[in-house]
Amino acid sequence: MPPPTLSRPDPHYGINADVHPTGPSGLVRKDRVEAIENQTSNEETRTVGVEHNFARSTYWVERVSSLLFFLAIWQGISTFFLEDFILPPPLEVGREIVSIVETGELWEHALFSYQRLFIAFALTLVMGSAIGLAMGMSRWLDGFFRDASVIMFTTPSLIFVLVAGLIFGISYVGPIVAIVVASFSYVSFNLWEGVRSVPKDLMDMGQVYKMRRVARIRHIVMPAVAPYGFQGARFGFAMTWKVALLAEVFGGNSGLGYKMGVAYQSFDVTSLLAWVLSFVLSALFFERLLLQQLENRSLRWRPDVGGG
Amino acid sequence: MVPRSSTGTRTGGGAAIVGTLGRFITSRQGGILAFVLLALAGWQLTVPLLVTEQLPLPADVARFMWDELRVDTLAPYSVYEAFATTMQRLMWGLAWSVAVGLPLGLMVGWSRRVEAFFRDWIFLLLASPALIWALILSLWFGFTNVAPIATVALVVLPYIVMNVSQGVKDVPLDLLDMGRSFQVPRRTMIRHVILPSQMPFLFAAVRYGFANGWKGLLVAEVFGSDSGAGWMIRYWYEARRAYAVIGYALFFVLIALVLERVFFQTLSNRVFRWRPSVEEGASAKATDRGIGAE
Repeated sequence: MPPPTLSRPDPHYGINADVHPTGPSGLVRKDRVEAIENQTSNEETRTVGVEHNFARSTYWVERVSSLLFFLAIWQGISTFFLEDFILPPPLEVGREIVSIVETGELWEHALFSYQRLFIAFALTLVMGSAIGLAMGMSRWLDGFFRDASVIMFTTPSLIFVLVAGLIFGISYVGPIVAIVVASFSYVSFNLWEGVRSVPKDLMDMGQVYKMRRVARIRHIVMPAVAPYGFQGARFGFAMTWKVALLAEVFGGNSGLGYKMGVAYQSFDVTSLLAWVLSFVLSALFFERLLLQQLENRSLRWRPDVGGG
Repeated sequence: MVPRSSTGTRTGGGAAIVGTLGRFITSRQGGILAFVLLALAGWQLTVPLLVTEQLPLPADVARFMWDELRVDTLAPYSVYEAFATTMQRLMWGLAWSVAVGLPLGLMVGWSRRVEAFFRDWIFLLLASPALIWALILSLWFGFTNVAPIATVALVVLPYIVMNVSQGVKDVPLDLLDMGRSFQVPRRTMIRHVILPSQMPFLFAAVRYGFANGWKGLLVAEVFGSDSGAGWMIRYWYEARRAYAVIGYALFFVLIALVLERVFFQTLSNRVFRWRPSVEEGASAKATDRGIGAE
């Protein structure tokens, strides 16, 4: 079995696509895959899933002009059609962001949010991978956890947030529980898929050559599971921060989501947009840069990822 | 196989039953059953131990659901009305996002420059949680139908655009070449070559958008509406009735699974009737992966 490359259809289409916001690594890998395909002029499989293969664009003119175009539309609507309190012009939102940075409010709430977010993310990873590995290793455990996991990601995360809010009230723990319950299944489904992708022939060979168990896990199982693990981590993180946001809007007394809720309740569109932009952009930053760097680094050995 | 005893059918039958039972318990189905039983038992047993009064027992939730189904409810809308409103909004939202997303996706798939123009925004749309649209739109439009419908449309739009643009790249090149050499008019090409090859992609996007869109819709109804399933959940939440919130969640999951399994499966078979086999090629990949896809 060849190592899973992303030129084949995303096995998680419909499972993970939910939280597949940017697919940053998909972008990079796809490019390289596409470059190879172009070299061999072999135009074949394309992904249907959300793991898109938008080519890495060098069309800077279009991208910059698109940014300017939409900013101009925003500015135009705000000056000519709507009152400022309904749609503030972009500059005013920018000024608001600068002001919350300067007063230190942003750091205070971001620190609080991200601290909790990373605790929850760590727990999600631990729980998700334990369940995913268990599901991959035994059919019985697969049956045991599968329906639970399916229900977990069919249920809207709003429900977990609300129920956790009812049980724990406004507390530090409530959102963590909601986040973990809502997002672990994304990690576990990926790991399950990863375990199934472990090459059977290599495992057999390892047995024949009497490889030690540790060595087998290190050299056969881990390399096969790793890409799925990273994918799961990325999807998991995307889900995690969305649920965290929701939880803070509903039952927080501090944090970025809480500030959004306050802005919403006081009908302050400028402040709402400022907080929204700072959270979304920072979460995307973590997702894209940190997790993706980590992934590229650990998957260097794969020809289509690191080797180029 | 259980070896059949030759001496008596009675012992043989007993062994067979034990064998079947053993196989069932250790099988996947056994795992499923074990989960359901353990989950219910765990729920029933741990709740009384907790300090909080908020957590309901399974029986409370079941009673609530049964009452709701019989339209015996304290809330202003019955469960049927609530979900009917929600479904209507969902359909409108999907319709809007297909109406906007299909042409946009075709353009994005057609030209690299258009793709470069829209790409960053599509990523941004994909990445932003529905909550943000729900908050902003409900500030703008108040408690009307606009905020929920627009939220659904915005949540689903990027999936449609991306899938359709993938589909354009997937248009059979040989057919296009043939059309060109036979000088088939552009309109005919679009109608008979491009659109049919788009169907699996569009279908996947709609199916997928459905699963996501209505989670977004729920959030939008919580913040920017005064009817629908999302609002009902909020209503019960504010009344501090955990059993009702959980009951509504279960209704939601049940409806989602039924729709996914029955409605989309039927529709998919119908739309792809013209294909020799639905299980083959892109359509299978595109359509057979729903929320609960194995």
